[in-house]
Amino acid sequence: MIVVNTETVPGYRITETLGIVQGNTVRAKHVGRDIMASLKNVVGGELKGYTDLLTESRREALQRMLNQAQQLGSNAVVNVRFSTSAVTAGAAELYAYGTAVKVVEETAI
Amino acid sequence: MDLLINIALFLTPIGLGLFIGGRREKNHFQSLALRRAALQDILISDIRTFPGGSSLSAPPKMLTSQVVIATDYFKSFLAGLSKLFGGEIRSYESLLTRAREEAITRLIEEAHVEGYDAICNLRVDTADIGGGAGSKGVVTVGIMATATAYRRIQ
Repeated sequence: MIVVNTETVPGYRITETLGIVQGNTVRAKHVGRDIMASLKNVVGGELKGYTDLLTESRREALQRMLNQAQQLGSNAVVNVRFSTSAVTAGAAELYAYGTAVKVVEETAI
Repeated sequence: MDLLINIALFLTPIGLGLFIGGRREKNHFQSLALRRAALQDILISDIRTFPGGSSLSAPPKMLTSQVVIATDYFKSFLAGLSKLFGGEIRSYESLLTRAREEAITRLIEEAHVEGYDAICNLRVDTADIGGGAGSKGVVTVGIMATATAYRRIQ
């Protein structure tokens, strides 16, 4: 599966556009991480726990999007975008969306 | 006596923030500059097409990176003062710059590790991670960077 956030894939031609695919996930921070974060807040710096949380959420949302793309029978997803929203304090939604397409290598045509 | 303790409780975190936080921030900026200097060969753009052309030897790949950074007490204190009079809050500007630079640098490093020499369509978002932790309102910034990595035609 080729995944890009550009509209085209160089070297490949889009033969069919299958439609939008999307994936989302809502995650909460757990208390332990919050306590560590407030300690870290005295001296500042990276909050590794939150970074990991964001990484996990992003991977999960992307994976759900790719599952949809696979079900549609596509072999590439173009123009992928991410957006986040805070559902309540302490929980955040991560949403990934893109367009599922079928591509063939240009040399193969 | 109680007053003294209260003053100490108030000043200690601010002092810690000023000295430790300030030094850590300086070190971080220095290490960022070094890491970026080592990756100068990589072409970075936010153009939607592929400047320089994309080599067919490797299909392009979307890369993502994220970073969450907290302020220190000293900065929060300064920001609190600024809020009284309004105007620019410089202490938070460096926080945002730092978080963005870190996210972008991670992205470039990942591209380099995977053998790509250019990234295009770079997008940098501020992630809304659901307010501060606890009632104290910890000021945190979450930055997500997304880009497509590709290999230029030599």
